[in-house]
Amino acid sequence: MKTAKKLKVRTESIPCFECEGGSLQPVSQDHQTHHPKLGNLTIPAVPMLRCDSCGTTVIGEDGNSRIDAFLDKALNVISPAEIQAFLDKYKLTQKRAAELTGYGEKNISRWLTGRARPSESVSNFLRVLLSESSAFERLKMKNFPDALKAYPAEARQPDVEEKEILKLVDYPAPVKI
Amino acid sequence: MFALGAKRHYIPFSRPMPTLPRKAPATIRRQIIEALRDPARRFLDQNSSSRNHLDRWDLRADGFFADLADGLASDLLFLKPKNQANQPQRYQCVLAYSENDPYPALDIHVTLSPKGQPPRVMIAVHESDTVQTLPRIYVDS
Repeated sequence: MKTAKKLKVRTESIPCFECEGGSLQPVSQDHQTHHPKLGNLTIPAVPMLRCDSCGTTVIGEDGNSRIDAFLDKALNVISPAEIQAFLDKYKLTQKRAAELTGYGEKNISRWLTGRARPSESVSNFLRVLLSESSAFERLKMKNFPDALKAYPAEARQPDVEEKEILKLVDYPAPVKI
Repeated sequence: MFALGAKRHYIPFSRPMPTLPRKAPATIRRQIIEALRDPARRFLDQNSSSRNHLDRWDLRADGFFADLADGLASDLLFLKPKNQANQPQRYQCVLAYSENDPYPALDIHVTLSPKGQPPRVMIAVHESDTVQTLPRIYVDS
């Protein structure tokens, strides 16, 4: 019974990496870091683990997630879900998106999987393309003029926004003038 | 040090060549890769500036661990020489990104916790200064 209890305690606590005699206990500590864009910053109350014997402190999954979430918010970074929405909206592959935007295909893959954090300028650019179809079309025409031939303006139907604008145009007025 | 007007003679290759660190066993390398792929078994050393390097280069922790696991799957790991006899055995490698990536080569120190099952890893990240002495050798098997 005693052995079983001892074993249970041993499996639950994480032994210290440095002294191996103590065990890591959850603590909450401010994390001080530096970001090229944000400068020096302090992230409050980051969950960490500290050895009760030697004081060695490590950052586990919770702490890393907290720091990453804080930086994502502070940098107003586009989320992987938004990038996926951008690809889905325009039916783009990662390769095609790379050709169109000029970013590396590997970078797009890393942003999409959340491995790396895109910069603020990249985030803003992709957000504009995601929200403004006309901006995307202009970029597409600029980078792929051949697409014009395959998609002639005469054959193109006005979208909802264009239809609204056409309704507002008062054609007889300029004629009178 | 030198007599005034005396000519200095530079002898090429006079310095001893740095010795290659010993390779870590493949079983250890596999244990570390397994631990790196499990979010509950991987930790960053808070005392070093490990996390600050990731923040500076806009690397998310999940991505960094995945990159390191991928790197160790193909490159060798080395034993880190001990400064003191009672120190735990550490391992070292260089995580080198491709030329197209904006990230620098990172010097990685790994501490494997042999106590407690399953084994866990503590990673310390440094800007690479040993990249010249730690070669990237592809694993055969």
